[in-house]
Amino acid sequence: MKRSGFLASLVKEARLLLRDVHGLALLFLMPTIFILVMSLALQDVFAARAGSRPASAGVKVEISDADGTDASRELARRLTSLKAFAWTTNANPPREMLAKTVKAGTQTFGIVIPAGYGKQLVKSATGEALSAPSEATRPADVEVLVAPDAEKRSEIIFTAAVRSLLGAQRMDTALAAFSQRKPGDAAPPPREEADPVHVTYTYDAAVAGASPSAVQQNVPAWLVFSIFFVAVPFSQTFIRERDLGTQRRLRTTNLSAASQIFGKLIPYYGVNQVQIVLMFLIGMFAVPALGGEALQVRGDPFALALMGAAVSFAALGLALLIASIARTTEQASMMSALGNIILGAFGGIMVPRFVMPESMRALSGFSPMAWGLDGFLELLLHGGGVGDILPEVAKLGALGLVAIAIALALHRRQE
Amino acid sequence: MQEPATIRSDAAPDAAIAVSHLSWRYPRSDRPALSDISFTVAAGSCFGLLGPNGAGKSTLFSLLSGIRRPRQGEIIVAGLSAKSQLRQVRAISGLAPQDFAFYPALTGAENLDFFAGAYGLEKAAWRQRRDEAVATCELGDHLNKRADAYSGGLKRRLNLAIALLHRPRVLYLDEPTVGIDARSRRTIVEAVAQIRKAGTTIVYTSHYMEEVEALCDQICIVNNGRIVSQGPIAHYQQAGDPGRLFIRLVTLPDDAARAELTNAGARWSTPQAFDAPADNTAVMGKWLDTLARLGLGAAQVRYGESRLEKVYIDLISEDVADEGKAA
Repeated sequence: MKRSGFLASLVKEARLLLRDVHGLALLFLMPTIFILVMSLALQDVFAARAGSRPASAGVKVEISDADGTDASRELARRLTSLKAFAWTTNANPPREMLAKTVKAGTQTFGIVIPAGYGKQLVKSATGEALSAPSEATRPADVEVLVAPDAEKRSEIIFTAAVRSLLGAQRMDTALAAFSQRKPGDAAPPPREEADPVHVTYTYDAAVAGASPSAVQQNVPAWLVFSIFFVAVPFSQTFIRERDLGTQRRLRTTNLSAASQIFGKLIPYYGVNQVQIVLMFLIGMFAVPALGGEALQVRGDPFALALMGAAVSFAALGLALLIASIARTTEQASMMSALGNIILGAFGGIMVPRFVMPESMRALSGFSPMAWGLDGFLELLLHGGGVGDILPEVAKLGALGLVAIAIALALHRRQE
Repeated sequence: MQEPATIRSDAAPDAAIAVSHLSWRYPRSDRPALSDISFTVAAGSCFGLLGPNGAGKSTLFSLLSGIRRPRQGEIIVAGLSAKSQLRQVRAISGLAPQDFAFYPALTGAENLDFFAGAYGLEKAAWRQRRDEAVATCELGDHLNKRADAYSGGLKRRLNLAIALLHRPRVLYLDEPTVGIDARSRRTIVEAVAQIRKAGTTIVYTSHYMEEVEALCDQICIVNNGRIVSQGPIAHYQQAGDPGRLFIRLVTLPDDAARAELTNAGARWSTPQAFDAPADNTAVMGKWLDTLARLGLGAAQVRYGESRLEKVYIDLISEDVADEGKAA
């Protein structure tokens, strides 16, 4: 039985990789430092500006009216008269369905008018005796559901607008009741007013009501960046082999190009998977240990693994292409490092896309790093599954396949 | 240009390599790297391929060893066509390139392990093959050190050992002793002699003529992609001026001794060393007798080493002059 050339290539590359201290430092230390620094530095910014969905993208709102009374319909009418928001009307989904829509990011906000709203409004305005002891602290009149990536400023403005309209409706109801009072009727007892709006984040936070944090945004961003950064050491392995003359020597053996290439790809794919686990662990344990919020890993584990595999596949395909085009290590370093920084810059890694102008945001749609980031955010913020990341996985997979096909064609031509 | 007829594998039954009308031109190059090259190498012999830098030796090596597939002309190696049976040709060929073509970050053993896999050696046989190659190249004590910690000589020996792993029938050695110390050079030259003795056909390039003379049976001199001259090594050793005897003395001769030696034909290169005409052993003997009579000891006596080098330089110079005239 013959020794396997593919296995020999794989073992050789793994050994070389483990001895490349600088390459490993680049792949593991760089994202670790970025995640720690950026998560801690930006946590206050993210607390004030939770999500990546820009207000200018349009704040979409839908109402779930479980009360169905004149009062609730009047509230809905008043709300939908706010022209600053894009309203979805006529559907009236049940609360759970609306929560799902908001969590998925289809709507920025949802408003739930609970059953009994109209009755409660009248009681509140006329000072009728409360029907149950629990109502002594009066539940919120409406619930506002907030999407995980909703911009914090939008949330503040929106909830203020809702409070204002609720107050106005209560005032109108009270005035109407007051005008019908008879002389000698007792005035309604004074009561402590609770916040009529209850805000619910559709983000599965460990702490109920918590909004998505800086670490929740930064870990996937820098993780995607570091996965793509594998192109730097990976492309250099090919150039180094060319410079050393080992590639020329290997052409006197019958070791196939596929064995050589896949023998290199697999160890680097392994590195990418270790990066994913390590960066998640850093987000979960190191960032909170330093005073930041902890990363909450959610979403389908299989979908997370699939997303990681797709990003890694695209990154390695691009790296292989760079290795096939570049003639010197300087060229390979320049193409891979500079290319990554550019892709990262307009892919929303370094600069969140919500601060980009419209034209830049449109351009960022062409960055594979943006595809990777969108996929990870879909899972980590929205708790999505495989079905939610299929478009990103398909784009990354297609990019990887095309890049590898071109690289193999170039490799054959060079032979 | 008319395509030359392909040599049939039985055209030269004892030839390990038969090259016929081989030409090669690189893309976007205005002149061919090789033009109409033809030669044969006898099985089990050592064939010296000489030429200045840029003469086309590396291109010829890459075609012979299977790195490139010939397009014009033909190469038959052990009866196999490099055009149509390249994989089989590669399987019986070994190349020790001029570069250190291995991985510096791996140990010697790890490099051998990887290339054993690349050559697809049988699992049962590969340890024995490795041990043979290690013994031939005297690498035993250094196998577990990283190759980047090796001396230049050890690197050359590892480079050679890798080429021997699959026991090639034809071995191509591209300047295997360049840039290393005398001891390592001797180890490699002795190893090559041993490999040849075991029946392996060797194609050898070197700028060290004494190595070529010590190892090769035949030589082929190329310049500007063409063969300038080829033939048995003895032909070149006997050609040209009579040989000269080089003698370096142990002590400085006195004036009388120096005058006597000068009158007898000595040409002094230093106050203590001279060369003298000697085209046969009787004349050589006379020179040594004279030294004994004058009480002068010989620290070093050399004969004939410069003969091939002189012929080689003359042939290359003539070729360059002819090219100049033609231009």
